[in-house]
Amino acid sequence: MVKAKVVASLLNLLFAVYAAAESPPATGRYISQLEGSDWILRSEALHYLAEHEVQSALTPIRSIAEDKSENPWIRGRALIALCKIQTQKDLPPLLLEFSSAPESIHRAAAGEALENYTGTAARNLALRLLSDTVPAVKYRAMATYASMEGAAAWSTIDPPTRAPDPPVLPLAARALAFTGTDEALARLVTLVDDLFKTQGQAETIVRFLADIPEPKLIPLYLGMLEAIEPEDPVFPAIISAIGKHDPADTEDAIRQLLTAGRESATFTAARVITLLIQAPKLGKPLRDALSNAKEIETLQAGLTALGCTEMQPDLHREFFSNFLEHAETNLRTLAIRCLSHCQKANLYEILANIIEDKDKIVRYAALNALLLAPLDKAPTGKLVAYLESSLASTDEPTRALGFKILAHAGNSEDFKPALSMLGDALKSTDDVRREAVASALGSIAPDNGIAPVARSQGYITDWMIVGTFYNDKEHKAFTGELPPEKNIDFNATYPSTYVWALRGNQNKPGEKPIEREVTWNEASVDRTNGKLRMGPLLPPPGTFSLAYAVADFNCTATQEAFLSIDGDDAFKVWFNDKMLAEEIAPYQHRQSCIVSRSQIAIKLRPGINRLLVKSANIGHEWWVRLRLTDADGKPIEAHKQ
Amino acid sequence: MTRYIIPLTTCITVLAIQSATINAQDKPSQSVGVARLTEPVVTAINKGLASLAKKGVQNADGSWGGNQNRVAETALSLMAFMLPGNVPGRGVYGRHMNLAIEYLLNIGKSQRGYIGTPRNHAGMYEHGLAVLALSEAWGQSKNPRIGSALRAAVDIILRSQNREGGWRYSPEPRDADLSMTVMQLVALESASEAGISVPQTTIDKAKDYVLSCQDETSGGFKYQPGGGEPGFARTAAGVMSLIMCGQRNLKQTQRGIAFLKAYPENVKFGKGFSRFHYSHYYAMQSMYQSGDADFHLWYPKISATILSTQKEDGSWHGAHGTAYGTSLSILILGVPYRYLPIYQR
Repeated sequence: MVKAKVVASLLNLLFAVYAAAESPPATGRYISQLEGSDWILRSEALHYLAEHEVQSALTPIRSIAEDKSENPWIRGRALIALCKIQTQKDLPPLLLEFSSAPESIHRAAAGEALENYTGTAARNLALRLLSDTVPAVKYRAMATYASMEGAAAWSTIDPPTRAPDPPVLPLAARALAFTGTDEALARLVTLVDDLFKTQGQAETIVRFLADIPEPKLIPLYLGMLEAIEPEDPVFPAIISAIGKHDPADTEDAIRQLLTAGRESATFTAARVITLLIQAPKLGKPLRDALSNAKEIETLQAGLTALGCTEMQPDLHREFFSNFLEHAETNLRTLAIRCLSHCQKANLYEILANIIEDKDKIVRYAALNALLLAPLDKAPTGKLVAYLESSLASTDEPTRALGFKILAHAGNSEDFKPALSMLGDALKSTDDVRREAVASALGSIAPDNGIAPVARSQGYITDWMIVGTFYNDKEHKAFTGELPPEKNIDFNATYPSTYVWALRGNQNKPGEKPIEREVTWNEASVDRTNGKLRMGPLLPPPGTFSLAYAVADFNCTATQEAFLSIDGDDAFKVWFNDKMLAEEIAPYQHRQSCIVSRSQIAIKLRPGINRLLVKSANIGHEWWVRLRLTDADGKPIEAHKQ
Repeated sequence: MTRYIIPLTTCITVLAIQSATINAQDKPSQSVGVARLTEPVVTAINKGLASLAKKGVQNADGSWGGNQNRVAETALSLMAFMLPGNVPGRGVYGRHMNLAIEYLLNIGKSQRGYIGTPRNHAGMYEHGLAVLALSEAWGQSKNPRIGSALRAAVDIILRSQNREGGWRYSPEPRDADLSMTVMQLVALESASEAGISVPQTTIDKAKDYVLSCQDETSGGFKYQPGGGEPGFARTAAGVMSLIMCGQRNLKQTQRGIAFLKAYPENVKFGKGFSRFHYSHYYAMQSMYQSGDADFHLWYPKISATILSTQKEDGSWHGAHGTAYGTSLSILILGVPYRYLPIYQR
């Protein structure tokens, strides 16, 4: 039983996946699969090849069907596949042979295969099988007969479908569905009710009905959905069956369902709309139905459906807004999310008070919604005032969202107010907060605003740099001494070389380095995190390279200070001609190689103080960063000479 | 839609080759003038075109090339013919060009607007190239189907842009890479110039994707933003697309140009350079658009290499077929021609 279920779901899945394909992509594999010994795999192959009517599979399939030593069930499946693939109109002799076979499983297969044929001979054969004494054969033939005759089959199928035994219930249901008359469908509903009371039968009946293109079945499916729990495993099979029908028919059926006045019907309709048929015309009927809903789950399902992009959520803005004051947190947050899908809604206006809500879940939803809001609706120049409560919040996630919105929606007009409000945080000893504020400010700062933000945090921002000089993997040049560090002369020009070790030219052995001249240039950090990124400041390629950077800054008095340095891949630092630090990170291909030294005690002197940095890079990223703080960890601003 | 073709009124005269000093940090302050072609170059281009037009080289359906990249080879060949001012339907090559246009339109028609060679897994390359070629042809050709085909084809590009702003091998908005994104960006820019409506947001997002592929350290461009190393071909492509978006003076564009220039000459101008035609198709246009100094630095060297590799019959060998090699060689050599709007400064 379990195996049969597995096969059934497998077959359904396969059908769903491959039904839309123009050409069968796995024909060869499935034909090979026919030769195996596993009956599940063979039946899977037969199903696939039949669904795609693969002509080249006819011969191996016929061999299976004709082979009397084969498993009878597999032979039956082969006959069904064969009849589906063959294009001839006349009944094949093999089918006739199966229809008179002593094994009932063969006669049942003949009954099923017969669905592919029309005409008197097929009809007469179906009628003959209808009188079979074995119920599985008789009911299979009955379903086939109904598929041929439609409404005219009613008088024939009426008596046997009144109280069929459970094993043939799905076949009886199929016959009734094909018949399609009001009486037949009324009886089908009764049978389905019975089937749903029988454990495990629901999925079977859906499978037996799913390929019947009768639109009157849609209300039946919707009724099934209404009768089951949302988590019922048969739910996807029913949705898949509805999905095979014309969307216009489904839309009509849902509209009908929404007028039923039952809360469960509204809930079901909303779910089907969300999952399957997002028709804007269903928006108003759904809203009307929801106006009588009491259950939170129904309202949630309704809001979810109306909030789908294809349902044109802008049409339901007012409806969503009604839930912003709802007592239920879930509904409030859902309404906010729905509003965030409305292109025409001014979320900044609608959510102005809600971003200060006492309920933090609602607050988070509102702030997250603002991240999705069109930027042209943001209050340019007044964004900081708008976000004041969030930016100053004591709740860390609220504050982080505030910074995120400021970075996302703010621009240079918001920079000054932001700096005025948040500037103190740049001097904070709380590094997490300081860095979050600096990052947000960096996103909205004008070009000339970056360095001041970095400087406020104690980073050295203004430099003179020169490079690049060739430095091999062993850092020979880095550990040695080059002209710029012997005598710093900003007017000097230095001969240098570089090698091209990037993709396409992997530093071939013996390759002659390329010559060029380099000079000192002014440079400034261009990120609020204080990193002096060498690559953009120096000529390419920046691999196997080193450079020098000098910062001269002014102090008014002697002061104890601490210098923190980090960089990628290696650095040497001198302060007022005295070497302070030398670090080389082990090389890792295509990875950051960061080294750092923290809190090196130095004494700032009155007048000019000089930092000289020698920075080297083998590959990947290349930067260096220096930060000055006082004994309390507060930043010291270093202004250039 | 009327296309404006700028005719060269001057005769093709000898190009004065000027030497230029390499400065890795050139500022974008170069003058932009009219460059001219040498006689050997003109002869080579003419021989190349004649080889493409030779009986039996163009397929009966109007295409060039084998089954694999037929659309690409056809689009490139069509552009090669248009480059020196040939017009579809007129002159010696008029019929060849008309047939090529018909072929591209028929492929588009049979695939609901999508103009990639069927079963080519990287069909979006071809689709972009076809849009580029048809955009350039629109207005020159009297074929009334070009306009609607272009609109449908551009619509496919617009719908296939992914969230990051880029494109990938197939016409669906999944992942993205620089090479494909540049191809679509160039196609969109060309179509836009031809009068097809292209939302600026699409161009902006694509430009952002291209910029996200720039390697911070070297200034070269990588295949995708996440990782990998920058390469010459992708940098040339990235730079070209940025210039086409009007970003010639952007710092990132200039860094890309510096990368191309610093790349070892013996490698980049060598006959065996990887993806030679693809790389220099973009690089040459980038240098031409960058300004006179860069153009004069580059053109004599690349044209010398290309001239030395032309075969007796006028064709060039190419990594993806003879039509591919020949048409791209012509397109590189003929950059100073300004009949194609995309080649205009």
